[in-house]
Amino acid sequence: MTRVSPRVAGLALLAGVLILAAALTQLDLRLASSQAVTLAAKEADGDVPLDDPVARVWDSAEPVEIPLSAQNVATPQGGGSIRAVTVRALNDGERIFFRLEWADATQDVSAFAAEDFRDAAAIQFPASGVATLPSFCMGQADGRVNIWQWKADWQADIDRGFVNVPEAYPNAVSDDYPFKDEELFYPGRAAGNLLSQTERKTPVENLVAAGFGTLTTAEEQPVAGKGIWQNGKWYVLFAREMKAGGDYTPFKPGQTTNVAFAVWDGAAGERDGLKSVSQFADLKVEGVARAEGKSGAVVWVFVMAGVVIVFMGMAYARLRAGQREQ
Amino acid sequence: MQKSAAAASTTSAALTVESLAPYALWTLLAAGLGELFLYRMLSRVGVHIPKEGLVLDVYSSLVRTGSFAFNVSSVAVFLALGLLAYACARRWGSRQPLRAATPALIAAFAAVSLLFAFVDEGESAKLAYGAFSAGLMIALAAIAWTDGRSDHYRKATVGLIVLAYLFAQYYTLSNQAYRALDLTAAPPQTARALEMAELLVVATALLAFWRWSGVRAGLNWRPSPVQLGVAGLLIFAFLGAYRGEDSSTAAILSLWTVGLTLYLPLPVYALALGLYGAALVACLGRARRDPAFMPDAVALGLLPVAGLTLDLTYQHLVAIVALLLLVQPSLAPSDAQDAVLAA
Repeated sequence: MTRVSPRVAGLALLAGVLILAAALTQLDLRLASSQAVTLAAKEADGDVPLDDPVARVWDSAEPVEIPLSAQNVATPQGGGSIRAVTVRALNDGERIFFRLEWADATQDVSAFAAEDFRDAAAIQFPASGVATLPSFCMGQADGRVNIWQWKADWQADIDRGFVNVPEAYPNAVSDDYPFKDEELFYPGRAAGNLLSQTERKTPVENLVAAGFGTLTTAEEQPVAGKGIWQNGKWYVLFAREMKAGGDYTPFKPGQTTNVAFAVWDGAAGERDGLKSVSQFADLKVEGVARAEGKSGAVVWVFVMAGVVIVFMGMAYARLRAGQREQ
Repeated sequence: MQKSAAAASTTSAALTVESLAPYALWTLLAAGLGELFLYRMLSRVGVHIPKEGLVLDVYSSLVRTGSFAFNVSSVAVFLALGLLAYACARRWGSRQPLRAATPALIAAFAAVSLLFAFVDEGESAKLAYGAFSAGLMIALAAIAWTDGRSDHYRKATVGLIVLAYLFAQYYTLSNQAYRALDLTAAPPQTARALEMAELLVVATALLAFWRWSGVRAGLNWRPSPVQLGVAGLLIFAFLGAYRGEDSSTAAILSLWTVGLTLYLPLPVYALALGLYGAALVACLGRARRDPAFMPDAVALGLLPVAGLTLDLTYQHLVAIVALLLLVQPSLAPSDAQDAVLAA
């Protein structure tokens, strides 16, 4: 028993904590490390075909099931019919690939009629040069995001050809338009609006955003993709060069960044803000050799076992001492 | 109650772990809530607040204060854990292996947590760390359940909390385990496990209200104005933020800060939040009058700080501190234990 007053000792402890915290703040250090699940984009074992989302090369990628919830952030809130999406990622040193996989009983590939809503999926990253993690809700003013959205109707346009009014409504009667073959009759197409195009190179739209209501089609469309529906599941592949200009998120081996996902089920009337969304997860782009093999696990198990043994030894000594006292 | 207060004052002259623990625990609670509200919440919600001029200055100052509070909290949690582990080692004795080993394991866990803050650990290290944390939680639940003096509602609350954490950790640990083993399949039912964890969080809030709010007094119970005010304010703030024109607040706070996806009907969450707030207020009120109730009050306050998805080592430590306080609440002098248990 010491003569130091508990109050004095307690205040001294408190002062010590504050001084240490101030030092950590000054040094920009945190006494914490992330323990969240990481999606790893491993180096691919072979070529990753852009036209086959179920190619065997994907068997070597480690999947992570990402939980989704209804979009509760911006009006109109809702969606949430898809509860989880399984994500795999690979890279070949030049390009990065993602494959999203989710159960969907219906294949909704048309958004032509007012009552039709397409299936879709999107991936979101912090944009280039963003230092802190942006809001997962489309980013923020000082934290832009880069979004890749795959659309089932765009995929159908590529796979089966563009669906126009005569195909969608074969029995409809319309007047004859004398200029219907001229480009200026279709101002959206003439202006280069991606949504109005009839011939598409990719089913994936590259977008940037800096908060709600700021989602904008990017100037460049470098993201390739392919989606197929098999046995009640969508398999959607996204691919892009790792290097990128503008606001588009660059990737490089060894880098850890963040990634979030969204999925729309057209049959459930999901479109725009009505969707299933995830929080940001960690994404690690791995190099040719894996950053950590099984030997890493062994090392860490030994480190932890060592620490535990030391403290358990102390406990055992107490146990023996207690038994001797009896 | 008077007896325990008197006992507390009698021993306040001696420098013991029990006399130092309140300083560490109140500091941890204050800093933890500070970083939760000012750092994690405000900085995330703040992206949707129009900011310029004075508003921007105030916002920046508050976030910086929250950032500092995070550092205070992350230091205080080590101190609190060390003191609690020492107190538990003394009180639990050395006769039962589980009780003898657990304080040492907690100290080892704190040491590993500190190590992780300074090294770039891989996935397998995260797996080992998460498994260590889960094992500790199971040990604490076992100690609570085998404690003949602890009341049933306390045991049930500890059980629910640990179960919720285990379900939430199943998502993280199973993914990390599959990766460590180079398995190229997705672990089964991980998303469902998170939903189950969320359900258990809501159940815990309701049980905490039953155990700590004073409602067990039945018809004699009258909620205090502060309890009513806090519960009403929490429900109003939650529903208001959710149903307002810019409803981002509730969604961001729940999903990103505490780890809830809000998949259950909204009123369930609002009710759970309000009732938990009422229980916390009741506990804090009692702790103000009698130090014997301090561990419960601090534990209930720390659980939201830890959140459900333990994404940081810091959150693991806060969760362990909260559980330790619930499992071994008698930091008050031993004379006061009977009064605590009788409460």
